Amino acid sequence: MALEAMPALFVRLGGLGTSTPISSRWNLISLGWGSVKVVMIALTVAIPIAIPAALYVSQVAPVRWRVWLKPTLELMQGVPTVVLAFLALWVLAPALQRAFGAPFLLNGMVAGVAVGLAIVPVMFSLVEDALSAVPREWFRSALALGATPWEAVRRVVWPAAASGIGAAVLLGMSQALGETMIVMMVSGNATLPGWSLWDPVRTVPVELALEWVGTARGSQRYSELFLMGFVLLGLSMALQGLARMIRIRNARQRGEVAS
Amino acid sequence: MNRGFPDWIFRRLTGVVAWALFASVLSLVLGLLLVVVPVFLSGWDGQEGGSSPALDHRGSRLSLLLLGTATRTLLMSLAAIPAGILTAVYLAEYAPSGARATRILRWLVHGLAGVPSVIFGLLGLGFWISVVGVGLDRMAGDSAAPVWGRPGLLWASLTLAMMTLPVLVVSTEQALRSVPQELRLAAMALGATRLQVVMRILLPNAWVGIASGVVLTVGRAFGEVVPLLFTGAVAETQRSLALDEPFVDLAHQVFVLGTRSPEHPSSRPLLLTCVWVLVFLSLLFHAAAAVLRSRILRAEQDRL
Repeated sequence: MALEAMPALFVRLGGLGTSTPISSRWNLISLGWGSVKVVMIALTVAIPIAIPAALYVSQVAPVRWRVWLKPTLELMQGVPTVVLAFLALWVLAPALQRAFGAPFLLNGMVAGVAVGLAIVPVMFSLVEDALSAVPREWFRSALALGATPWEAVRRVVWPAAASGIGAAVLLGMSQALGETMIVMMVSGNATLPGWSLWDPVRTVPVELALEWVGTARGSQRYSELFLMGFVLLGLSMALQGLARMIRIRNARQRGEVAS
Repeated sequence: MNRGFPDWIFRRLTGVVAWALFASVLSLVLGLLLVVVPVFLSGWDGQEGGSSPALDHRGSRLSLLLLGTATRTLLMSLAAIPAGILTAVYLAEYAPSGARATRILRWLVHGLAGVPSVIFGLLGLGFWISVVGVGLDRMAGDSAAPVWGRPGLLWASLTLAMMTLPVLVVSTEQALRSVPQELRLAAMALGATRLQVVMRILLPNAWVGIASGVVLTVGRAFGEVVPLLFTGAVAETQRSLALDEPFVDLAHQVFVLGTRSPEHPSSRPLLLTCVWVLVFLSLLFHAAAAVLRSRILRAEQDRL
């Protein structure tokens, strides 16, 4: 089991003293800030695309279109992230720079937008599942009571699916938080603590992937990297756990057996 | 009008977003597959078309990359698939279902299934290389150069196996649970042992679901790069493929060549070829899983 590897992590962590130098603490803060910036941009990009698309596919589109729409959108999940990163680097970054005149070709904005687009398929699929899990009869009953489709969705379907949609957003967030390849290739990778979204940034997972090479086993830096890894692991497990809790509760409310 | 307006917006706007997304996904995938084909066949802008030495060179590079990727994916599958299926059978059938230990185990597996791949790269480095590899070297004697205590093909495969295992367990358990309870009870009533139920009833009935999960997971691991950065993929190597040697990898090569300076155009044909092969094979995995899943749906409809 993968769990076997956990003790190794704890052993490494044991080596982390309390006397962390100020400079590296500052480094950790900048990295965390970089991660926050990228995740926020990614969610801002992904949510307004994924949720309307899921609403359309689950509520508005006729069934004969739905059977084509959903599998095609999920096809994107089959494309490896290196390929998406490659496209972001060769197509998206120059296009954004030309459109907005950013001083750097590779910056936090490009990374955030690219990650956002990359998590759209997953988020769409999960939101669509949450919306489709609401019994179709509820929607029809609302229509029968004189509601327009929009009113039926807003007052009946949306409230019933809201927690499932929340879970989908959490899962998308966890994926954006851990996304490494895309951010590594298009973010510029400089650890800058500034406010500007157009500065190059570096996120926690990228730091891990870039820095382990030059780090001696057992050194302070080495245990710092494992500490960051551990924090990332904890955060993503917490997000996953929360999402799963919501899903289990929903299933139980509907009287299904949750797995 | 007053009442219908938000409704009109709702239906039009969501439709526009969904169809735009549909079109962009379709054009992205088709674009990657079709637009790159001419480049794939004839070199970049015809600069090195025909059967030039450059093209032959590219062909041999590509086969090396494919060999590395195929080997690590295969080794990973050998390690992860049996372990994943056994764990899932245990969780679904043998583990006491209400017990706290089972619940915690299941939470952990589900949680690990969504953990970012960097973490597994780090774990591969911290566990397989620093603990197991270094330990093996120490046991082997006092040679100065590390053999196992450094990144290599075996550690990369095992790290990938660690990464895919929880996902496999989750999907396999789901497939096992979708076997109707009546079948299980009927077999038990006829006096079958638990092992017989698993071998004769569960696995035959759930294999399509299990297989689609396996194909999807292996396909995802196939295109995964990040753990390989930690555990043994290199840009170029003169050594031949061996368990304890670093190796070249198709997906990793996209990263290596993609981040090279654009003023360095000689590697472009190889880069685009790699992208094409990677996308094509990933979509093949995805399509195979989709075909399997549609078989499940049809079987479920027949049963109703």
